[in-house]
Amino acid sequence: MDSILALKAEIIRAIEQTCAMVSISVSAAVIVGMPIGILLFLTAPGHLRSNRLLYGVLSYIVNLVRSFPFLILLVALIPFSRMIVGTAIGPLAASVSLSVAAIPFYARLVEQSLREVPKGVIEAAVASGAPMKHIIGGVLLSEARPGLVSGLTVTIISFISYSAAAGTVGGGGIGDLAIRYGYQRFDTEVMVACIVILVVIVQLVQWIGSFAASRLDKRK
Amino acid sequence: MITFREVSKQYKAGRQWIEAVQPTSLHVEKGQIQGIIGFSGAGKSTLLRMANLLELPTTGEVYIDGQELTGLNAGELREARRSIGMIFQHYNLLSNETCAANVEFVLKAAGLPSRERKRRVEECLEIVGLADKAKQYPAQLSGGQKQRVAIARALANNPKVLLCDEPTSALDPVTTLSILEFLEKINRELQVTILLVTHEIQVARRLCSRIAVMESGEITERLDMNHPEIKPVTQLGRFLFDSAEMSSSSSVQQKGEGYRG
Ligand SMILES: Nc1ncnc2c1ncn2[C@@H]1O[C@H](COP(=O)(O)OP(=O)(O)OP(=O)(O)O)[C@@H](O)[C@H]1O
Ligand SMILES: [Mg+2]
Repeated sequence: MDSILALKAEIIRAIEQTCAMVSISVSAAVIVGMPIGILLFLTAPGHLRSNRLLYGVLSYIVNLVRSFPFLILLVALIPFSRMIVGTAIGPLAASVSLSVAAIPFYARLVEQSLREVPKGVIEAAVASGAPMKHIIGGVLLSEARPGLVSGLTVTIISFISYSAAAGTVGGGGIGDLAIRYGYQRFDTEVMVACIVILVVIVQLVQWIGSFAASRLDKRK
Repeated sequence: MITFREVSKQYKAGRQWIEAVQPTSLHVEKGQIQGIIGFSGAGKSTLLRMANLLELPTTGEVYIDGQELTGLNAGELREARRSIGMIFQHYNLLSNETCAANVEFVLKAAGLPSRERKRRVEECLEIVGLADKAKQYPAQLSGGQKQRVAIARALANNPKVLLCDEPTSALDPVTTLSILEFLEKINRELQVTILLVTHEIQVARRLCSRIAVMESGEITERLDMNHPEIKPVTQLGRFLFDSAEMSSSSSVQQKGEGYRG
């Protein structure tokens, strides 16, 4: 207990760092990944803006980034992180790699959720003469709302755990703290405390995510 | 009001091409209710869906109210589609939006300002008798009520034409009748020309002034229901008139009295 109290400030800082890394990467996933997911959906063969070349290229890039083991991606992106944020260590630098990983991750989940929207519903909107921006906003995103939120929940939770991995190469955060104290210094108490914190955060995120998704789902 | 000129539609199925609709012409006058009947796979839906270019004809032209749809660019086609309402067998409503929002969607997409939208949504739900369901979600409604919301949505932009693809095929007979009454009312009071696809003979007979029988991608018979003396030659055509005599009791009685007198 003593060691935890002694490290109180450091634990709080670690929580802040984890939150920062996850917020930045998940924001990137939503801001960049969501449009890519929509584009993937629209350009897929047989869909509204079917474009074999664009779909092929996008899909290939998404697969490519997703097939990298995260740690390797992290190392490979060190020069890129340095270019963007001026440093290769710390939560901000880790956020760059995390964002690069989170964007295609969420893009695929968005594409999948949009595929769940019944074709007939989209067709009814096309038949009514609705322009593309209304079909995207008023039909696709609206009908896929529960799936988009569930996908976001999955993304947040995955990237809490990815951020722990990022922490070990100088990113900071709770995962990093757990490894530094628990694994390297055999301070089990601190490690357990860190794990408990992670478990609580993940449970909380999942609970809020599930609740939001079910509230948004009017299909019954 | 609706003219198909030598339209045809081919699909590629593997290596083969199937001719879903062979070159076909059909003209529907303003204010008419034209039915298309036929067995499954006859090409009814494909023909209907070419009326608003949901399906692009392989050959031929489509005219709505004198305008050639097949010659329009994307923006012009969107504009033209606003005056062509459409309803479907499975309603195709937005399940995460209320009834009012479903109707409002097409008004918003047409660029109507907010205040006018609200007024028009109310009017349209009123027409189909669902003003009290405005705030409900489709999942909370019966099939017939969902189809009425779909009708309200189809009417929102004051269409000249209403396309119906099996609008009652998922409904029980009593609900079917109420939907048909709404369609009749819309045709009569709003002068909307209706093109209706169905495989239900009763529905076609009840509603349509003219009926085209389709078989394997072709219109094989055109019947004017106001001229019952015409002798249909196709099996479906004959069935249309035969079962009219058998199952509709009032017409049987009238005819019986006629014979006696
Ligand atoms: N997108 C498509 N791709 C390939 N073939 C198609 C497609 N749509 C329709 N067809 C084929 O075209 C033919 C006509 O289909 P259509 O849906 O117009 O028939 P229908 O008369 O409406 O039948 P139903 O009563 O079953 O709805 C069928 O043989 C069908 O398999
Ligand atoms: Mg059909």
